[in-house]
Amino acid sequence: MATRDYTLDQPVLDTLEQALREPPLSGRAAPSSVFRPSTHDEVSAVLSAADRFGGRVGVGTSPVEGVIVLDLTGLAAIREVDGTSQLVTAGAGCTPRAIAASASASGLELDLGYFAEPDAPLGDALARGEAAPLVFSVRAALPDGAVFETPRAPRRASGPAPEALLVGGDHRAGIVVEATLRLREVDPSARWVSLPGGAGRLRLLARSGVRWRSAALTAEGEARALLAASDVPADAVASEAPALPTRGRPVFRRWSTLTAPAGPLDLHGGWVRGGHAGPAAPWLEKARAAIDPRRTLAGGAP
Amino acid sequence: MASPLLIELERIVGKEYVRRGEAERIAYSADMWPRNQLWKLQGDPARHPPDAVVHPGTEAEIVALHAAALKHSVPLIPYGAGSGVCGGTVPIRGGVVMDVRRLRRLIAVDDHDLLVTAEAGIIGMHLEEELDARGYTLGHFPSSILCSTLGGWIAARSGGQYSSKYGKIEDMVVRVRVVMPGGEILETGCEDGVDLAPLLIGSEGTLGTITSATLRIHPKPEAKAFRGYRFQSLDSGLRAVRALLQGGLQPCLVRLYDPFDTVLHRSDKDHDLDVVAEAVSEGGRQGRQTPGRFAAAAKRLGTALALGNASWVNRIGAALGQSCLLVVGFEGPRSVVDADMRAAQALLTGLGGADGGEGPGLRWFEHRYHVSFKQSGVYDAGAFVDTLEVAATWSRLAAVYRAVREAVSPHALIMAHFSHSYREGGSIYFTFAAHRRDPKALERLYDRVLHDTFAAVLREGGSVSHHHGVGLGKREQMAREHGAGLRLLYGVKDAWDPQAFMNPGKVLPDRAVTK
Repeated sequence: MATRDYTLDQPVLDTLEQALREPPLSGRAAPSSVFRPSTHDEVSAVLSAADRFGGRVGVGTSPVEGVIVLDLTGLAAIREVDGTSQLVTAGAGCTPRAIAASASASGLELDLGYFAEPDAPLGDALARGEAAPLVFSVRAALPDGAVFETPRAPRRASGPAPEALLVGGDHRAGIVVEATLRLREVDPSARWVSLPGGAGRLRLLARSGVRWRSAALTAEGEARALLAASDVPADAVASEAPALPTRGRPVFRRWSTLTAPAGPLDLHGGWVRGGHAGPAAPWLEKARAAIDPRRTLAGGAP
Repeated sequence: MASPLLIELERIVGKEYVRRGEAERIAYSADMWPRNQLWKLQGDPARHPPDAVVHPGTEAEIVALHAAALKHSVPLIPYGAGSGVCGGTVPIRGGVVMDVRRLRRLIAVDDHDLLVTAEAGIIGMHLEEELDARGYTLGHFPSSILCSTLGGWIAARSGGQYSSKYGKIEDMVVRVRVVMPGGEILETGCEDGVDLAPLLIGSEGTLGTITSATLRIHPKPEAKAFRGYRFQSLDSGLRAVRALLQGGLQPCLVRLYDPFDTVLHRSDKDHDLDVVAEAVSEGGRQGRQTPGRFAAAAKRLGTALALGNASWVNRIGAALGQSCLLVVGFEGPRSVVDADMRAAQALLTGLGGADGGEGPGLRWFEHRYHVSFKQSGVYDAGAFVDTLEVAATWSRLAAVYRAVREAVSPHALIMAHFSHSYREGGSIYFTFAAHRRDPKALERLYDRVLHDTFAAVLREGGSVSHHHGVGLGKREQMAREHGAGLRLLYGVKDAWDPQAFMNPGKVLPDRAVTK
């Protein structure tokens, strides 16, 4: 199995199509290769060919038997930092840390606390559903190769949010090739402080009306809360300020969805655990089947 | 309607809760969509009447109603309080309108996690009053709060006047419980890593019937404070609003009026357009007491004169000045409100805002719910008035505003305010009005104004809807706004409602439009 690491020019795509047509690779089989597109058009071309000739397309970096793997690390351009709207548009192959570095040059900050692995590609993080509150819009490729961008407008009411099928969608309703993320101004006075009491303390602070920038619980049994703020009341700070946590996910599964509209964290949902009258996954599968009837999209490859 | 279905409906909800009288057929043929008013002006009070209106009292009855409608292949239209302004509940293909307002219980308030669970048919103000009595607020205050329901808010992706602080309804919903088209009950959440709520919020009854929801609540604010500032130009006002939001302050209210709307804000009338009508008619009867019916006639004449010559009124409005009023408000713990208002004061005056004191904010607060549940008297004079709330990033917001003004000014009176502001952008709330003697010509003009507005918004990179939803009025714009991404939404619709009997013809354009 070979990794193709160059621009997907027409001869390469012709070869791909030919391979998809010829037995025994026709039908659901496919050349087991990794392609690294460097443009959205190339992603589109591979998907289009696969969709027409019955190939399956996954996303990853390693070859998988029977799947055309798209390595999106070639989509590493940071297209725009919009300082006026505090937004950054970056390719799926960019790492959040690189995006943050680019934003900081404009005096803006990407909250890396939303990412489990800030040095892994953005596209992978979004496919896992990380950083959903930071996502302003996405550009994605549909199973037949059509590329589109979700509307770039804040909190629109133009129907349901298709982003819900893409962010956290495991590349199975569409492949995210680019995303526009929310930034915020750097606040040099903000500092991380560690508070005893963990969840209970954060809950009280959430009700207090105090503004903060970020909050998290340490992974050790919710024993301590971490709070980044520039105006934490003195009586809330009960111990020395620790170093900024660089890795580790908060305990709350949905904590990262709790950012309030203007930025400071709202913790109400951190304790929410939904009960289902019926499981949601089958409804999602039904929708995916209607969107991708030929099962072209294989999801994130291992 | 076939009698077997009627018998089944009566068996499900009881005979007294199935209505087919003329009054119901007229009342439920329309919501607050202005086009319904235009049809009335043409002598057509109920262009799309339902075949029947049902009033279920339980979720189980809703499940049974879904099954009955599906079995008989009849459209089923979930209905809240009818305050929508995009025609989202108009039964364009007949069928059964299902009014859910008997499901109006507040189910639970969770004091530990600060959550409320309530049934979909509860009227917004009733929900807020129940929370207020327990020391909480939802923080959702649409101007329709007196005549809209929780389910309607969720169905149409509603936004409240304090969305800058509390977010829109999609930010508040934690779980939503829905009867899916086939009668299955789905309660969203994130237990298995799948949250379908974003697909159901904004679906306007096309993917199921919302029966209850769980939302975040907040401690009732200890204090509120409002203040007005006057800026020399719209651009300087917009810069100030952006600085306010991006600087980390969390005002509950941020409302910047364009120059024309600033002039009208000085009045204490319920509706901007009423002010126009009154201003024109007052000119002819200053200093004397006019008998009531003559006053009414004068008002109608004034409205017709003003709105029949909209381009001149727009020019006069522009000549009145370029300054813009900004109203900001904070609420929360008193110490936080005081500190934030001081910070806002320093920031806004530093950016050129002239402090206008508390008056403008208090005046807004007093009249904040007056618009939605009254159709403006402008219609009485044979004119139309409509509002359109669009959204864009800060980078595009001023361009969208100018493009719409340029497109519409020759045809209709136009004014706007910028509300619902966020870090990355905000909403522009346009108001249009025009008059024609011939009702059919009036509708043609209405179509042109909307067409030109939508085209301008989309050309400049905005969204045609911020918090009114899509309904019928905006569905033809969805293909251009979403592009190929619309196929994702078609896929969801096909998968969940393959018979397409749930509120047909809403939100998504007919398939042929996008091919």
